Amino acid sequence: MKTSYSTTAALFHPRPRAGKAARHLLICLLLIFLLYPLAVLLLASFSDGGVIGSPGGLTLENYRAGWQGDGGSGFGRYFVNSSLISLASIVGTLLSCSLAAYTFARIDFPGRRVLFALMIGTLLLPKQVTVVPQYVMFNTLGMVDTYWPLTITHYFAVDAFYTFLMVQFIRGISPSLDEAARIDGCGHFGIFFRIIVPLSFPALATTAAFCFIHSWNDFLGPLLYLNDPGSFTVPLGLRQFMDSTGNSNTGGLLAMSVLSLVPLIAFFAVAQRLITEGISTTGLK
Amino acid sequence: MKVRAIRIAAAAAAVVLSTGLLASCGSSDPEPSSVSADDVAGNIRFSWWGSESRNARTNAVIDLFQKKFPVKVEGEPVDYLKYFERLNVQAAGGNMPCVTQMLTFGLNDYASKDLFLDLSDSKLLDLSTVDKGVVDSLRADDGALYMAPYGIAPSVIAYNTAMADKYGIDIPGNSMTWGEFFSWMRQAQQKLPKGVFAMDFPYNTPVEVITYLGSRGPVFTAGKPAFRAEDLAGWFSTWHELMDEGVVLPAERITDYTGSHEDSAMAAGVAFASARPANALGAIANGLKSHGLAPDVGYTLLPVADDGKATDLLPINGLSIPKSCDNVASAMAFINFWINDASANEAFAADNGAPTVAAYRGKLQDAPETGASTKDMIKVASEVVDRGSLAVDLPPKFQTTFLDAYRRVAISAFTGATSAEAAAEEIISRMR
Repeated sequence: MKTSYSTTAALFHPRPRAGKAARHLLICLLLIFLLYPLAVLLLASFSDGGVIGSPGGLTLENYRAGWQGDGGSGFGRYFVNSSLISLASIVGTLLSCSLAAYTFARIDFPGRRVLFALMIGTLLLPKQVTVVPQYVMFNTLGMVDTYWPLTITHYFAVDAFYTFLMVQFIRGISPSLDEAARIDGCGHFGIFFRIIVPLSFPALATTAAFCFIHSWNDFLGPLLYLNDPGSFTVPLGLRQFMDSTGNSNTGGLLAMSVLSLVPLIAFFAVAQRLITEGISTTGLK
Repeated sequence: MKVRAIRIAAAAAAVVLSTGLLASCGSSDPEPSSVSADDVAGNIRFSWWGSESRNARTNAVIDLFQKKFPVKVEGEPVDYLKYFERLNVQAAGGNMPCVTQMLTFGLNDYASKDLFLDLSDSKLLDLSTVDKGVVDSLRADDGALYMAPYGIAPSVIAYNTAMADKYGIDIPGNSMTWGEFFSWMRQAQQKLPKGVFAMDFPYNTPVEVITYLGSRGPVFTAGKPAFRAEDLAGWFSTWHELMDEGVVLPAERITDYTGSHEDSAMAAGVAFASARPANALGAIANGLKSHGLAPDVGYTLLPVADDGKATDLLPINGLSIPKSCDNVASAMAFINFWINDASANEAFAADNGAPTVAAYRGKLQDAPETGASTKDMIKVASEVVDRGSLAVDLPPKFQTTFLDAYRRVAISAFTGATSAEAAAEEIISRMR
């Protein structure tokens, strides 16, 4: 009987080593599946004319031609432009959204719940609805063909998602720390900068990461607001390689696409620990 | 006090914004006939579609213009697929560039909203040099001209010359009828190896379908569809039959090839022939080359009506001036330079269609540095202009109703998922 029980148990509970190996195999297969497009992109970027298996073989010419860019600007300029816009957007978002989040999480003022609900409601508003009115407004203010429309909005806490993310995090910080600071003579700004900001580092890093990805990849905003090719961002620069009505530079496009991924991967690699901590502590899925 | 201050600031902001908007709405339209050469100065914006090579040529023309005139031209290039997305928002914001590139299909969408100036009567823009038939084909019902034509890009049936030679496919002359064309495709398929199709689907542009409908009667009258539903249904059912017979690329493979000429089924060596604009012959040759195939592309003109009458719809690229432009004189001078200056035509090298001035077509045709595909395109343009194009009065919203509906419905009808009659009715009802 005992032997029989052990056999049954072994059937239902396979040896841990075998299970682990199966799990690893599954994860490896999934990883190959996920990395396949990136591997194709990478290989094609080194192939003559961007066509894998082309008679020209492997070459660095795509990177050389792509880096030269369009109209003498050079693709490096697009990287600088994208970096400036992303940096300005991150600074604005962190400042404004964290302050707004502190207000919603810690200050009890009349209409707080209604305003919070309204802010969350803006998440449901499709971006296309606001495109034309926003363009009209920035055009009237003479800001078209400048970086202002792409950065200034971030200084007014208009990104409800980031504010919500930080509200969730700040609510998890014990209010007794605020009370202790208040007893020591801190006002709201003192509490915010001395208590909340240092303890919210993971949430701030997560917000910065999402903001960076969004700014770096944004296509519609720069398409509408940037006219001068010298001020183009990386996504607009990539688009310059393609035209459905004429000749395209597919090799250059693929090579610069690979390079455009480098800052995103580097940012994630550096801030990985903080980002995962921030995601796990804000209830973000 | 604080609440009051906030209210005042908000009210002031609202007044500033609304004043600006009203000012832009209420300004009177500039008069092209009243501008003079003395007014040519200052800055203008110029937007066009294209990629690196066209941008370089356009910038070369801009440089030539700036050397000759005290005008700074701010170029705004973007690729074709995103061009109209941006232009629509600019139009809504009253901020279209002073010189706006336009094409036949989209012209009435903007002109019908009263966004462009009538260029017929201008001292600074000489269109007497341009083929009269080309100019007249662009005129609105009231005779107004909202676009100055600079590049003609008629469609042709492009074919793979190497395949024609290898498999012994005879090439018909320029006067084949639509019935002869469909027979030719069936005969070609019998000679082609497995995996290569005689044609790909003509769903991307409206040129072929309108040329076909034109061969059977009027297409549009007074901005309304005048073609017969059964003719459009016949077009769909013919292509459906060809697909069933394995003569055209199967539906499930359409998405393997993007809309660009370089990545088309023909450029990949999967289709023997394809209906394409003549200015795409070079791009198809480049595509064939990148696939390791011989970059030899031939062409024959679009089929004609049974009575031999040519009914080509002539796609024309041109330049328009929005009513919101604050420097009409410089915009006019720039367009005139673009169309009529010899050095400008030489620098642009017919990159977006054959020149509309016959003399420059001849010059480029004779120039040794002109590429073979450009020479082909110029020859096609001259042949099509000479044989008479179809002066189709494209209705307002042509691009946003007929063209969008056609692209959406065509694949469904070609594959038989929607009946040919239902597809035709859907397009007609959408236009109504």
